[in-house]
Amino acid sequence: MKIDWSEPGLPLSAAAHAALLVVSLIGLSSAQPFADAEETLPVEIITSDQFSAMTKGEKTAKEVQPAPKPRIDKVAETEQLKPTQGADPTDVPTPPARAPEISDATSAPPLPPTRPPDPVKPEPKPEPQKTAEPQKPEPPKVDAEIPKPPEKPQPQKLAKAPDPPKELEKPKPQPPQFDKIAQLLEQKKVEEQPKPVKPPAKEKGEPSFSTSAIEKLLVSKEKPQASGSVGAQLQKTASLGTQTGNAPKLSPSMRDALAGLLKDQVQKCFDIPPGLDETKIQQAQVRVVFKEDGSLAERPQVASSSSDPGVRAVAGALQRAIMRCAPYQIPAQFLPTFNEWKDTLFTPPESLG
Amino acid sequence: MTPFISRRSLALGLAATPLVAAAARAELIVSLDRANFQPMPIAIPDLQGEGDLGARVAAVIANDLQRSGVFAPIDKRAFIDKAVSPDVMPQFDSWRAINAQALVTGRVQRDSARMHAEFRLWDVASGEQATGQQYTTDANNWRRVAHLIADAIYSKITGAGGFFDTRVVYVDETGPKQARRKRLALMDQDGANVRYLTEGNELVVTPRFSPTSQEVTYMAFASNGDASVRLLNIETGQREIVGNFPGMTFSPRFSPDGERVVMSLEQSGNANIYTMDLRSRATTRLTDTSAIDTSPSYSPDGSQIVFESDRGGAQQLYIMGSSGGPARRISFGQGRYSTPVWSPKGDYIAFTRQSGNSFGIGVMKPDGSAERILTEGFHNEGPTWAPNGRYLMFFRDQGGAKIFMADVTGRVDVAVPTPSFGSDPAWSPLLG
Repeated sequence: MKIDWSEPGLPLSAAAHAALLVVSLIGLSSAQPFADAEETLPVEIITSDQFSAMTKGEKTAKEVQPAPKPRIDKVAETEQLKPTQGADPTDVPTPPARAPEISDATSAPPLPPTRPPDPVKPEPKPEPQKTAEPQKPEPPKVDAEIPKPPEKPQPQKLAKAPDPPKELEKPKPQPPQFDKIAQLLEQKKVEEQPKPVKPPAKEKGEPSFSTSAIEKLLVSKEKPQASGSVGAQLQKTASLGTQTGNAPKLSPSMRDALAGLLKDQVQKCFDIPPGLDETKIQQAQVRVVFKEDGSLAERPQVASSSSDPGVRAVAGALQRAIMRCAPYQIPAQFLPTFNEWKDTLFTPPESLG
Repeated sequence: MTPFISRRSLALGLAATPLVAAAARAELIVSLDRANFQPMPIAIPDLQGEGDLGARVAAVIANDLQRSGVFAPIDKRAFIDKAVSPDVMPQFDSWRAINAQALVTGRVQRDSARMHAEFRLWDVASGEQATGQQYTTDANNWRRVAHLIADAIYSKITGAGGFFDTRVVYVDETGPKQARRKRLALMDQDGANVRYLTEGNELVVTPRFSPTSQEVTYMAFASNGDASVRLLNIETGQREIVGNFPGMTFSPRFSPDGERVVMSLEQSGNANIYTMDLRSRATTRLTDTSAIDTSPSYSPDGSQIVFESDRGGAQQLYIMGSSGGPARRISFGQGRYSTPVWSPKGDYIAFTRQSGNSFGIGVMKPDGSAERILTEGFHNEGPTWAPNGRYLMFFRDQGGAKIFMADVTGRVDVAVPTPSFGSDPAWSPLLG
């Protein structure tokens, strides 16, 4: 195609457009692209103490103790002192007690070495443990009520066989006290069923049931095979621990999320009659005990002590709402922290308007 | 003695323990931020009893509860359990299936001239009895029994006092508009049992119930124009003239103790507020202005009086001490305020507000705050409080005055049926 220079409009226009296109391609290509959307993750900063509190502990604890202590089955031969917490008030009481004894014995300097033994002496009370016959010492206090338990202690796990399960069923209540019993219990759980008949059938090599064998075991002076946990002081009951002490804890953001979930579900059902007295409405709190599946373990209870009929009326409406909307949808991610939301307190809005 | 004390303190300790424990144990706190105002679905099957008496009582209860706006009685045709015995535990599943949150069961029996009634209110969600009562009365009082049951249910659910077992005195209006015949009439709060207290040969206005007895005070204008303040005992029919006053007299109203009447008297173009001791008949002047002070109403503790006055130019509401003295203006909204009435609970003052061509019924707190218009239209006037301080009656002119009931939230607005036109309602205290 020839270019007619007498009419340069078209070629000039084409050239100008081409130039513009080139310039824009080069110029605009250097423009900053939009940043990719980033998924945000809620992050919380916690201290190492909080972290350790979230991760250590026993999940199988049966009973909450207000001041849980670690379980110690044996006194450590060499004391594992944790000097780091010199300021910890809980450490304070012990040192003073030892000090006098030590000073009597020798000079002051040796103090550090002598300490280890001291802690042990005070404990001697729980002697029964030291005897290493965990079986008999059993539950000194409780025993009186349950005469059968004595047999169960079957120190040897060998006894796993038939009998234990049966007898163990009764003693259940005391297991937390001793290592062995606890182990036996766990075994029992693993074996699924207490049916005494099955176990023997499976394990051909196992000795058959013999009372004399059991007696032997009972009288045995052998040291228990389990080494148990060691520490500076015996702590028999510590194994009860606390259900929350070692269990995973709800982080603040999870707590908010769960509270929001429950709030949304309850509010759908929170119908109240018009015209209620709003001045004391916040007192109408209701306490709920949940089951793990989100259903109610019991009837919601009014938590406020007010006898004001208006408060009772709002609390009644809240109780009905909570019952009507049950069971609640609680995502599985909250199950590990069940103990943290098992007891929940619902408070009504500040005003009903 | 000692053991007794220790037992008692032990009992107190035990009683307090669950509450403390409840608060201490709760781990997670969920704060709600809203509630839904929904009438509660309630199932009210016919009460068991002879003839249709049980059905009639149930119908009155259902009507009361529905009109309160708090309950939504479920249509009986939806019931799965048609006959519910008051002696056996209800099958709650069948009531949950129709979304009932509450269930009323009961029985009525007649024994010659006596009537025995009992009822139970069940919480369907929990399957527990919320309340239950029985009554014995004259057989002709079956409607009152129904109102008492409705009151018990209403009180249990709302925490407020009942108001169904009450009556209303009002001005019944018949005849052509130019020559209306006005009679004083009395009815149950639901419009039933209307009876007339005056003959209609004189004009009656502004009836007011005594807060302590079944007495009514009102203004009567004889055909010659003479006005008098009257007192009428509606049980005995006994009437008396409290006083004939020179000039016009307006809006008499009882004091909370029922021993005095407060009113306004017109003298030489002004109107001032006076009280009259009903025993000694001595009057005391409370205001002395060149304005028109009228429609006085006592606070429930009798310490203050709210009234309307045009001393500031237009009609507004003022409050003064019950023995007079300086008055404080409390209304500052658009328009003119009149007919203030102090709530029996003391928390609100109801009024009529005229703004342009519109008349509204509203409430405000005694300090003038939280003003709220509950209903507005061509002509609404003359509010009167229910004894529980939650509901108001007033009249609305729609080509003839009719009586309506509203609640303080403005969510309820229902007509009160009257055989003919009616105005100037005045609510009685509970009949007790």
